[in-house]
Amino acid sequence: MTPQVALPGVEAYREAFESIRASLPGERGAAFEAFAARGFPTNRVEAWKYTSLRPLARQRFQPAAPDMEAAVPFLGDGPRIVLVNGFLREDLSTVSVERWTGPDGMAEADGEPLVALNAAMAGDGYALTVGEVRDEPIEIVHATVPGPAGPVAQSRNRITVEPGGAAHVIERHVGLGSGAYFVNGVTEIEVRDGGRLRHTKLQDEGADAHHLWFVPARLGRDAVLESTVFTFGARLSRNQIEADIPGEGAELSLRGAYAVSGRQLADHTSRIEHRAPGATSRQVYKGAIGGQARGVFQGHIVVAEGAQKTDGHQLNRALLLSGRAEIDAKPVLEIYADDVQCSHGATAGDIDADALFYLRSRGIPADAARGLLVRAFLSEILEDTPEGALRTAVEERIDGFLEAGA
Amino acid sequence: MLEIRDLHASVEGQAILNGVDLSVGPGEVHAVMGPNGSGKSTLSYVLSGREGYAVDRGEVLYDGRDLLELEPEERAAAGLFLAFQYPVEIPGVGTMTFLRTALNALRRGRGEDELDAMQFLRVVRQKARALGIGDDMLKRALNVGFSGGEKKRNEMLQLAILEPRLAILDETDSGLDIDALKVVAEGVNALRSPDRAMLIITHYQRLLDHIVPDRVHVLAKGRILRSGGSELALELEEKGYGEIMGEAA
Repeated sequence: MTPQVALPGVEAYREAFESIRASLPGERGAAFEAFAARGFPTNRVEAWKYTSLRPLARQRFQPAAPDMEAAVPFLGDGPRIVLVNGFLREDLSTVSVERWTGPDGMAEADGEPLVALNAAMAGDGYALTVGEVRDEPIEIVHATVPGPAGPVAQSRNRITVEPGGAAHVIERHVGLGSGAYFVNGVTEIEVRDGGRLRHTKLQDEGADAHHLWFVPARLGRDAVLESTVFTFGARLSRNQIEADIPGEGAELSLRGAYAVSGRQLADHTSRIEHRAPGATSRQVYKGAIGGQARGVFQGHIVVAEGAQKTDGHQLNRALLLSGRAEIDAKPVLEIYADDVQCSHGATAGDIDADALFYLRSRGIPADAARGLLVRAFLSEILEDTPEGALRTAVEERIDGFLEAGA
Repeated sequence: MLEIRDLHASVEGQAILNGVDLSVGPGEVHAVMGPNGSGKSTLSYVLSGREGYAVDRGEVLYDGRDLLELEPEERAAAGLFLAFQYPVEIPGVGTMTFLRTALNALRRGRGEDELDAMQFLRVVRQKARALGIGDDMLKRALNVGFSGGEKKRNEMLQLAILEPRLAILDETDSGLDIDALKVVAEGVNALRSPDRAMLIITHYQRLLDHIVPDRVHVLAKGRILRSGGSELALELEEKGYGEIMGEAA
């Protein structure tokens, strides 16, 4: 079905899709049409009310090239998986994983047009299965090389934790060099009965990047998923988690810390569906927003009928470091069971004037005092990250944010 | 050392200080006493540079310099210290990190080398022990979850570590039981020296049993109504503020 009036972005992407269609595994026509029928969502779509993709839809991107020469920086010498421009690079990886081979996963039926676009155009991705307890964190690097054509990198990835399996997976997103590019990725997460996954994302894309990442997650009985996202890079980014909890007694923790300035926009959107009794979900998102930057938090908790004893809480706090910084927060609780504990809270404000004065009165200069307070504000999200390369990388990004005079 | 001349200050357009004159010399300990609402805390905040306090008239000289034009951190670097009536809780900032950042900022300002972690730890441990502050308290976030007495002792620890030349103690006795009061008073007395001045702001006389001031001033309605020796504190305790304020009116 081709609409009468071209929807934003559709024709350019149709051209791009046709140019790579023959090289893609699986048949993608239906997925592309699912995208084409809706195009890039506008602000009239409720889920995209605060995050405008209009400039992104107008920009033309070419499908990113595979096999690029790339000097990818790593956090440590531990096991790693590397993707460049959305393509799995076995030559740079030390963990052998399967490749993603075509649309069949949970995200297919989803109503998000950009997920459909990913399903249509993703050429590669990793599929990591954890069947045992892995002590060493696995570092997964998604690197993108900007180019004159403004590449779009789309990968489709999957992490599966089997019963009895446990792992810490770190996904890092970096741009190699300056320039515009667009990343539209998906990481599906399935933690089966009794499995445990710590998933840490460090989004450190280039300054002119657009980063949209969709994480559909499913938790089995007594499964544990602890997800933490650190957002620093990209002109516009959205991290969207949709967690389905059909497993009784499962525990989900979603945490996020972000620091943005200039004209950045950082969107953290979550939807948690409790479908079984006795599961818990905890969400804490904290952002430091400077310049004319904007933060968006949308947290939606659904407690289905029968999901008794659900314990679901969400908290969103923003520190507005300039008069033109902005946060849009929309919490939604949708509860169909009667014996549950659910709550949400949100705060937004300037640095606490009393705390600032207290520090300055002890001789700490104003800038250093503000830095101390911003670090302290974000530190809650970092506290369960042990000393090491990951923690250092996050702290350095916070320092960089402060030094840039956010 | 400190010269306050005809100081008028207001908060949100409301006049609080209406012409304070006060002079404190090196090595002297002065007490400013007054009933609630007399302007005691406003005086301490104006001296330490808190935002929101407008100086409408008068001047404050510190070692002959115009104190009021300095930023709060510049006042601290010049040797001024305010022990807060309500120390601020700052989650996420470790007490030790805070103390070290503050001390090293002051040392840098004085052209001294910064202390490394080990040197700093020695300094803090020794001074903390004297105030009955244990390691567990030092490991917590700044003032978070501290009892009223712990907060006040933490203020005294900062006083001991930062070694200011002019210390303003704002209602340091409030929230302290008698044992804690003695510990704090001993700590303050140990810091008395010929080149360090102190301004003790208090509602009650009991702290002055332990820290005997050289001069006592009665602040009421935003002005110093009476000054005298340490015996004035006892007289106030006996007669109350009403009589003295009545006399002056």
